[in-house]
Amino acid sequence: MSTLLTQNTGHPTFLKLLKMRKYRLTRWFTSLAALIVIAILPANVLSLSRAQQREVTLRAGDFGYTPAVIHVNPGDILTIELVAADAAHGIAIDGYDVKIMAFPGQPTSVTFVADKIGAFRIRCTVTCGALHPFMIGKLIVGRNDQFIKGILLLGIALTIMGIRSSHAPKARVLT
Amino acid sequence: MNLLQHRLVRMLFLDRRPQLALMVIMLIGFLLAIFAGFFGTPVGSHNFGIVFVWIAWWAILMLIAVPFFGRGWCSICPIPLPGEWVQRGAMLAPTGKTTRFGKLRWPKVFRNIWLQNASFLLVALFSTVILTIPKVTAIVLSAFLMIAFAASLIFERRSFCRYLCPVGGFIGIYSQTAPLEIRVIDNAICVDHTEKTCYTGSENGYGCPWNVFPPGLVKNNYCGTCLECVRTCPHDNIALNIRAFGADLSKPHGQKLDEAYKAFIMADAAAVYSLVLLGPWSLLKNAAFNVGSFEWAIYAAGFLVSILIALPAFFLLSVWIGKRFSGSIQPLSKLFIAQSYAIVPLGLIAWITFSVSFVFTNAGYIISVLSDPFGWGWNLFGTSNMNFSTKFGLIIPWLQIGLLILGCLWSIRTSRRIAAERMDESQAGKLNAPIAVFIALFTTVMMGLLV
Repeated sequence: MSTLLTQNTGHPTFLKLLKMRKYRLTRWFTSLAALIVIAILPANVLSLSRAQQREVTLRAGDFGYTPAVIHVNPGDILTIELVAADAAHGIAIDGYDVKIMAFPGQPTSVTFVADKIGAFRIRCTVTCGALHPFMIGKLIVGRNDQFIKGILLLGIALTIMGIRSSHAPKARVLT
Repeated sequence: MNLLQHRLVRMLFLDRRPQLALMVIMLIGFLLAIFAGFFGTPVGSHNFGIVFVWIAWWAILMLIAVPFFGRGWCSICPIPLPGEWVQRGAMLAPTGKTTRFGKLRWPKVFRNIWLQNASFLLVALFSTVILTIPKVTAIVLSAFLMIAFAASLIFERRSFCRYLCPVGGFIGIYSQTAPLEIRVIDNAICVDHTEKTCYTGSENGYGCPWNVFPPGLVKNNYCGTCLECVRTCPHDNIALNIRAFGADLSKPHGQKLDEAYKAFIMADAAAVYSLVLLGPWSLLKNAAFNVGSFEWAIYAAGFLVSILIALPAFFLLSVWIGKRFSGSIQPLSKLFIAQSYAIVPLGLIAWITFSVSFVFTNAGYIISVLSDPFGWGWNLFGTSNMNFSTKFGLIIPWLQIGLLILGCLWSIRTSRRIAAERMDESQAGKLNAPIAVFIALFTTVMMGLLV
């Protein structure tokens, strides 16, 4: 009958194994360090575009915005002209102190500096119908910083998990 | 740690009145939600039915009850209550008299959760309408109440909860992750106890309403934590244990395809909802909303294909690659079913992250409808003008990222443990690798949809 025991592997070429382990560890830690450096880099370091004045006409109707996603560069002075197509609609942007509303035939504008980097949801502020709570648009300033950092953090977590499992004491089947 | 060792906790749980009081409060809230749906404002965000069911109750269920108490909600759910009263002929303790209701056994062919999978999918296909139109919510809640009542009149015990309830199905599968379990302390005592009052009932309580034989309990899935077995066991041989999160998942007992599919249905539904409801594409929202239209038919077909075929197929592919790598001689179908349980923590976290998005933002509506539950222009507490809030907008994505990473690691670890139950460590590692890639990809997709 076989018994499963947990113990360190005892291969004969111990020094060779130690070297291999050292190499593997170095490789793991190099990738880990690279991921950490990228993750903590401020987003504007990676953004090469220059700030400029931008105007966007945002059409609100049918429980959505057109364009669905607005892309701007960090530091852009952004003017959003809100055009309500079918009923009164509004916008509020997560993380930004921006809140306006518009009625059909009466567009409204707001100007602000897009100084926070990342992706932010734009939400309708006026109860406009059944799907109102899900009337959502997106403002992306520079890059989707949260997503990129999230993926890097996931990479770091998986790397650490990989290090832990590849250097954990191995179980051997002893007969 | 057995919580029932503490005298106060034991007293509280043996007494049926606190539990009944909570159930009655829930029943009143449930009936109020139905009333508000039928007679209140048609504006969902100002109607008690929509706000309390789909924001308040959902938040409590997905953020607290399921992750920490498993089937804790089922123990106070009001839906089976009227049927159970009729079936038992009593509201509290057994009176000794029998009724003629609920005598039939549930058909053997349906003693699984396939019907719950189907009922969840049915609700999910219409969910955009159910979530936003108060009258539809009221119709669905009334239907739950009536079907549960009818099932109690015909079939024994809580057949609706066990085999039909679309919510109970996923609570069951996720209750395996909860840090709470009801288990027998010493099986030898049960062997000698010929009356088996935990299953048959006694003057102190009812036989298990969930049709579970408590000495055979190894997983949480079908234990409704109603505590009847605690009341009926004459030897105090039932424990309410605190345990590690996810303790049931790697157990090789009772792994079945219906439960495996539940894991895929739930995980994929969380992704589809995140795409449709929280994404910026109005085309998708309108397609999901306009039930009966051509666009809706396309949406429904896509939804079903992605849930029933695409995700399980990708997972099957990753298990097949893992099987080839590891050289395992176990049948692919068995490995697929066993490894599907690794998707359970991932799915639970996906639902939590999805819920965080709209619950935090729309929590203001809860306070608003307290002042004006039916949208009739009342302002009972001066809070009727409260609205949604964007102040959590910067925190929510980071919270979601943290949770998704946690879910990913938890799932990979579970997959590894499940594999280690069936093969040696090195084989388990090889089988686990492509499944870990699948889990990481799913996590990335969820992150992309939510953040």
